[in-house]
Amino acid sequence: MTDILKSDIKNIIEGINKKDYSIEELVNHFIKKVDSLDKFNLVSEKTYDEAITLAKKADTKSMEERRPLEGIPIAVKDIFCTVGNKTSASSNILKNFKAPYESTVTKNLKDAGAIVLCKTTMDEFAMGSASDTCNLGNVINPWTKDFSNPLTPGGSSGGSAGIMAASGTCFSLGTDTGGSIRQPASFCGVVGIKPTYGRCSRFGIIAFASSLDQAGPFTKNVEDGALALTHMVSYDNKDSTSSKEKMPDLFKNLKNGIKGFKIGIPKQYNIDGIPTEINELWDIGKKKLESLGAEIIDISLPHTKYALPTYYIIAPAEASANLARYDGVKYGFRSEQKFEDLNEMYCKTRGEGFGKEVKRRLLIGTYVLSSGYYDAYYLHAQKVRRKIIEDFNNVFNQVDLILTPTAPSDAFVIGEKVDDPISMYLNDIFTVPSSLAGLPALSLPGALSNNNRPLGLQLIANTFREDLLLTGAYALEQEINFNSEPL
Amino acid sequence: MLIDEKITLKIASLAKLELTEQEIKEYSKDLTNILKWMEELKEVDVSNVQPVTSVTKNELYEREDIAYKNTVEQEKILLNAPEKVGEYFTVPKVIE
Repeated sequence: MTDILKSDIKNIIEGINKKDYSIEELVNHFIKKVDSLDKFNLVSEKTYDEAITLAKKADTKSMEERRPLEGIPIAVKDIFCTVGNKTSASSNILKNFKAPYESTVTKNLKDAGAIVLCKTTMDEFAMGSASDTCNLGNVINPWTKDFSNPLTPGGSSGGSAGIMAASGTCFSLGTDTGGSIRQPASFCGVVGIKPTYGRCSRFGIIAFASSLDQAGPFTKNVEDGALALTHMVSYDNKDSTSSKEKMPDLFKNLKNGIKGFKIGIPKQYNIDGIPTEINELWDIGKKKLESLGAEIIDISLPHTKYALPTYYIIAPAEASANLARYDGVKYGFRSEQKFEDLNEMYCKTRGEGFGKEVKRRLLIGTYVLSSGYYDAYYLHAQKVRRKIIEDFNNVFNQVDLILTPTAPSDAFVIGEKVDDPISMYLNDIFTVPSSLAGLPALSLPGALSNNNRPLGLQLIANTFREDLLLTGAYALEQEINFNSEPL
Repeated sequence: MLIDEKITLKIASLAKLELTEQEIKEYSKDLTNILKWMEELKEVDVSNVQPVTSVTKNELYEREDIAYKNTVEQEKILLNAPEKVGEYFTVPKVIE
């Protein structure tokens, strides 16, 4: 059964249907694998008891009763509220929080038959790019060879990306605000998809920056990504930004190739100081797309360089509003110090309960929203965001997809960038612009770096064109044929 | 320095965060650097540009004025309370 761990979801389902193994056997097999990964700190809570109960129940179902993902083991980033276990967003302030309701995305997947094996570690409240702000300690990339210098899996969805790299589940869930699915997918050598803003309901996902947050899957390959995504999305009246736009059939043209596709190469993504291997990877991607019959077109996204500072105004501003709810009254942690009054209780609870990066962003967010600075920072950034969106609107008149590198480096050693927040923020340089525009984008493994670590390529499509995005990615994936594994 | 320790303390109090001496020093430095980095946004001419609050084209809709059925039970919500009495959340006394 060893090969099962590496199989496509489609093949695993076929195995169940052919009775090569029961769902219980399948689930136990993956559980064993997850247990073998403890040293990477990818998991915040194991939910095996419930998983085995569900597997036994699924085994009693007839073929007709089986749902599309019946028995498929998954891992869920600990930012999705799930009933029956803890949801902490890797923060001490929610250390013992048990959600009284289920997120829409996990409900959709559970309704489709998927079985949750574990919740995964992440950067606290999804704020970070290295999964090194987690309350349970640093998350470690399974590509690590030298444990005295462990590699980051990227962030914020580091646990979910890592568990896919190590084949611990069939797929896993992440969220992406400025790159938190795509950058860890790049660092871990897996596929990570951020759909169009509004595709996945945000209901029950612990909020970071509400105008940017989107859920998406990590998978071994593009085809699994299409399947996972199909069962995650839905219109949801519990989220006012949820979209009614019908999801195109992601499988219809998935394998039909990209002959005649127009692929844009934005010149502003050629940035000084980026390692040459990143630009070489980008070149490889271009050549492969060309060899598949796509037309490569040079494009310009003139406001690209303003995307990061814009993001680091808007996201912390929204976070400072969203995280105001953690007051030590209704749920979560309350400081055990003595307080004179209510205000002191709030300040001590929040001062102790939040970690360093979260507090840093709350301070930035509070500052840019404060009286006297609102217009100069927050309002100005919202206007620059319009310019960034207009850049994309202009180029999508000429091209079907945009190709860029996903991240400006390969996975780095944990702790390398902690002293300088800005150098950490630069990790998101290629992923943030499309986030600000709400566009669907994905990362797929492109090559190995000189250090033998994975490097991802990013494709970006126009709003609601996940079908083109995945068709392009599938074609490129076959041509690249990346088959390196960490373990 | 754009952000001195006095400003950091002021922002922290607006954000309801108690910070240590050490944190106040560090965050003053960080915030100064981060805000300096944001200065380059001032180059962008945004006259006559409408701010973006959301990328969705959804119109906010009105729903019928009817009560939703209680989908989450009160007891389950209260289970997460750090302190409670009966069916109430409790906080330190605010009125003498």
